Amino acid sequence: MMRATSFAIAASAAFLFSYPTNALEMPKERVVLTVIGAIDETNAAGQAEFDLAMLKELDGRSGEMETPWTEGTTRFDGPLLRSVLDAVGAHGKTLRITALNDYSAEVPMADATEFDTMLAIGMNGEPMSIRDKGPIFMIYPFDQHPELYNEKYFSRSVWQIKSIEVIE
Amino acid sequence: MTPALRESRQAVKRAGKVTTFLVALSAALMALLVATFFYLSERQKTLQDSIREDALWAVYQLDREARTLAYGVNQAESRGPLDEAAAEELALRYDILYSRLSVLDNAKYVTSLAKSAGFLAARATVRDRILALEPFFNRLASGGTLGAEHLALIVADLNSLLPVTERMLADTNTSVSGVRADARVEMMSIQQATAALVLIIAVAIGLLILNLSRQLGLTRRTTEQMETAAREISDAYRAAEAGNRAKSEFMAVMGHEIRTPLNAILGMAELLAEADLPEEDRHGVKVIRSSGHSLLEIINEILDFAKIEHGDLVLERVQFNARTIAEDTMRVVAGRAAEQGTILHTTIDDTVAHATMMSDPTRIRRVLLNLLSNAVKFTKQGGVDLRVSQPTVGRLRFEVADTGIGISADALPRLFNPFTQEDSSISRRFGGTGLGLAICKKTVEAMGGEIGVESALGFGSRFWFELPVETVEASVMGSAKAEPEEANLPSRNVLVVEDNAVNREVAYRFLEKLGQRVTMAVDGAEGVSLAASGAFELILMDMQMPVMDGIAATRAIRDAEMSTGRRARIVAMTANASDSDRKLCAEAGMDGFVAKPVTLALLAKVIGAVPEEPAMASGNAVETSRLLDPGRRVELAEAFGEDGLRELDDCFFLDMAGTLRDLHAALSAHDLSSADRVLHSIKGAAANLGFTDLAAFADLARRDDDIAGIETGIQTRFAALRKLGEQAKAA
Repeated sequence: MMRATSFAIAASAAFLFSYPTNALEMPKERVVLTVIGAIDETNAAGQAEFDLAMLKELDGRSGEMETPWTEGTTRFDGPLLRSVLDAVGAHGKTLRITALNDYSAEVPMADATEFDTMLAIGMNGEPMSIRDKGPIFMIYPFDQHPELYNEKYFSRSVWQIKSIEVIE
Repeated sequence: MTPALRESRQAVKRAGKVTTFLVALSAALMALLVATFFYLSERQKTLQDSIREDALWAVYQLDREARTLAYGVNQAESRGPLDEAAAEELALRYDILYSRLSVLDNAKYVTSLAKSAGFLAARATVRDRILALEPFFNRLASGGTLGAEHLALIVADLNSLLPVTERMLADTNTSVSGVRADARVEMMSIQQATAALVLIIAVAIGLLILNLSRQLGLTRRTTEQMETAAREISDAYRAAEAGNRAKSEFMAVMGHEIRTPLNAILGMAELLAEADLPEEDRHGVKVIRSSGHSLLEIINEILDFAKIEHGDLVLERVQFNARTIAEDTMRVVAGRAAEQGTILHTTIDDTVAHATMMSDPTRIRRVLLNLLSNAVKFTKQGGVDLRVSQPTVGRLRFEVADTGIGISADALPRLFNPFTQEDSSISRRFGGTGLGLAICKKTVEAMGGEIGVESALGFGSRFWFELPVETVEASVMGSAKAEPEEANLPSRNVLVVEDNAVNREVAYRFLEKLGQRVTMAVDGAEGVSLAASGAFELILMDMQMPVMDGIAATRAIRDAEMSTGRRARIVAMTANASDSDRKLCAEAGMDGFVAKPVTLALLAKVIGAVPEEPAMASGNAVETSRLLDPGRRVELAEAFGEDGLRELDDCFFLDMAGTLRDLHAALSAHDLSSADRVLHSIKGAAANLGFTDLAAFADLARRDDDIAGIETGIQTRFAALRKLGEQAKAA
C-alpha cells in the first residue's frame, strides 16, 4: 500500500516536471511536416505536426557538401532527423518518408541514430521552396561519411518531404 | 674435379638461370596484374564519379509529374470554376514539376546522354513548355484564380509536352542501357584479361616450383658429389702423407746405410793416415778423410733438416755450463783455424762463466759449432771472436764475429732460408749444403730464441743468437776429465759388439793401436755370451744388429752381472743418438755413448773414462789395508784356519750375489726401508769378515740419498774384494 502510494507520487512528480519540456507545441504557421505512427508525443489527432519555426528550434547541424542534385558545394542546415524523432518520442525500427508527390522511401531507424542525418530546411542560408526541392530535404552527412555517397543513400535522400511514418 | 661433378655444377647453374628467368617472368606478370588492378580501380573511380541520380529515374519522374499535372488540370477543367483547395493543389503540382526541371539541368548525367543532341533539344523544349506555364501557376500560388480559357491553354501546352517527355524517357532508357551494356562488356573483357593473366602467373609459378624442386635435387646431387670429391681428396692427401712418411723413413734408412760404409771409409783412412805412407799417398788419404767428413756433414745436415721440417725436433732440458760449451766448440774448430792462420778468441762474461743453466746444450753446441765453422771457413788469415754474454736475466747470447769475406746486403735476408748460400760459387769454393743456417734458425726458434746477422761485404760478419735459459743452483756436475793421452792409457779388456765387418775391423785396429786387449762379437747374442765370463771392463755396443740389438744385449749383460757382482762399462756406438734413444740406452743400463764414426780420439776418451779399478795385481799394501782390516783378518785366520776363512769368504761372495739382487730390486722400486735392511745386513756381514771399506760404505749408504751411487759403490767394492780373494787363492 505504502509502495503504491509513493510510486504514484513519483509518477505524478515526473509528469509535472517533464511536461513543459516534453510537450509538443502547436504549430503556429503552415504545417510542413507530419509525423505519424509509433510516436509518444502528438499535437494533433494521432500525429505530430511541425511548422518551420518548430523545426528550427530542434537540435540541428549545418554542413557543406556535394550532392548529386546540386551544382558545386552546397551548404545545408536543419534539424537532425534524430532530434525530430526524439521530439515525437518515436520508437520504431523503420521510417517511411513520403514526399509531396507521394514518392516514399523506407529508411532504417539506424540512419537517424548512427549518422547525423538531417532534415535540411535551408540551402546556402535560404529556405528551400518546393521548386528548389523544399521545404524539407533529407540530407545524409556525405561530408562526414564519404562512404555514404552511393545510390543506396541517394534513393533514401527524399526531397519535398511531407510526412514521416514511424513503423515498429 | 670429376666430370660428373662438373656436369652437376653446370646443371645447377642452368637450373639457376631458368629459375632467374621464371622469377623475372613472374615478377613481370605480377607487375602486369598490379597494373590491371590499378586500371580496374581507376575505372571503378570513374564509375564512382558517375554515381548520381539515375537519369532514367529523373526523366521518368519528369514525365510522371507532367502527366500528374495534366491530369489535375483536366480534372479541374471538367469540374468548372476552381476552388481554393484545387488551386493550391495545382500550384503544388506545378512546383513539383518545376523542381524536376532543375534536376534535368544538372550536368552530372551519364556523359553519353548529356552529349546527345536529341536529349538536349528535348530538354530545351520541355523547359520552354514548363516555363511558359509559370505565369498561370504563379497567379494561382499568389491567391488568384484561372478561368476555363486558361485551363484550356494549360491543357494544350501540357499535351504538347507529354509526347516530348515520353520520347525523352525512351531515349534515355536506350542510352542508359547502351552505357550499361558497354560497361558490362568492358568489365567482362577486363575480367577475362585478368583471368588470363592470373592463369599465366599460376603456370609460371608452377614452373618455378617445378624448377626449384629440380634445382634442389641437383644441388643435393652436387653436394653428394662434392662430399665424395672431398673424401677422395682427403684419401689422396692421406696417401700423399703416407708417401711422405715412407720417404722420410727411406731417408733415415738411407742415411744410416750411407753412414755405415762412410764410417768404415773414414776409419780406414784414419788408420792409413797413422801408417807410414809415402808423402803423396799421405796427401791422398788426407783428401779421402776430409771429403768423407764433408760428406758425412752433408748427410747429417740433410737428415737433421728433414727431421726439423717434420717437426720431430724434441728439446731437452738439462743443466749445462755455457763456458764448457764455448770452450769445447772452440776446440773443435781450432785445428782448421790454425790451418788457415786465423786467430780464435773467446770472451765469456763472468755472469755466464760460472752459472749453471737449463736448456738443451746439445742443440746449443750444434748451432754454435755451425756458426763457428762458418766463421772459420770464410776467414783466412784473420780473426774469429766468440763472445758469450747474458744481456738480460734469463737470456743467453752467443756472438761470433769474424773478419772474413762478409755477406752482401742483398743476400742477408735470404741467408737463413734453406738451400741458400750467399753465392752459388761459395758452395763450390767452400762446400756445404746451405742447410746449416736454416737448421740453426729452426733450432733456435724451436728453443724460443732468435738468430741474426750483421755483415758487410769484405768486412766480415757478426752472427748471433739469443736463447731463453733458466739459471739454476749449480748441482754436482760431472767435472770433465782431462782428455787422457793416448800414450799412457791403461790396457783394458775391451769387447766390441758390432755386426758390420768393416766397422768391426776399424774398431779393432783403433783399439789395438791404443794398446787395448780386444775381443770381437758379431751380434748382441754373441756379445752377451762373451760378456758372461766377466772378463771385460769395457764393452762397445753397436745399437742396430741382427739376432739381438744393443739394448737387448745390454739388458742381458746387466742381468748376468747381478750374479757375478762384476760390472762392465757399456758404451753405445750410435750414428744418431736421439734423445729417446739416449733415454732407452740409459734405462737398459748403458754408461755412455760414442758417436759414429768412431775416431781414435773418441775411443781414447772412452777408454780413459773407464773407472780405475783397484790394482790388485800390484799387491799394493795401502790399497789392501784400505779394503780390509788386517787385524780382523789375522784374527779370523787364526780362529778358522786359512782354508776355513776362504770358505767363509766364498760363502759371503755367494750370498752377496743374492743380496745385490735384493738391493737392486729395492733401489729400483725406491723401497728405501728394504734397501736399508739389505745395506744393514751387508754392513754386518762385511764387518764380520773384516771388509772394512765395504762395511763403512754400506753404513754410509744407509744415510745417503744418491741411490745410483749406492749400487755402483757396493758393486765396485764387492768386485775389488772378489778380485783380491781370487788373487789370494792364486798365490
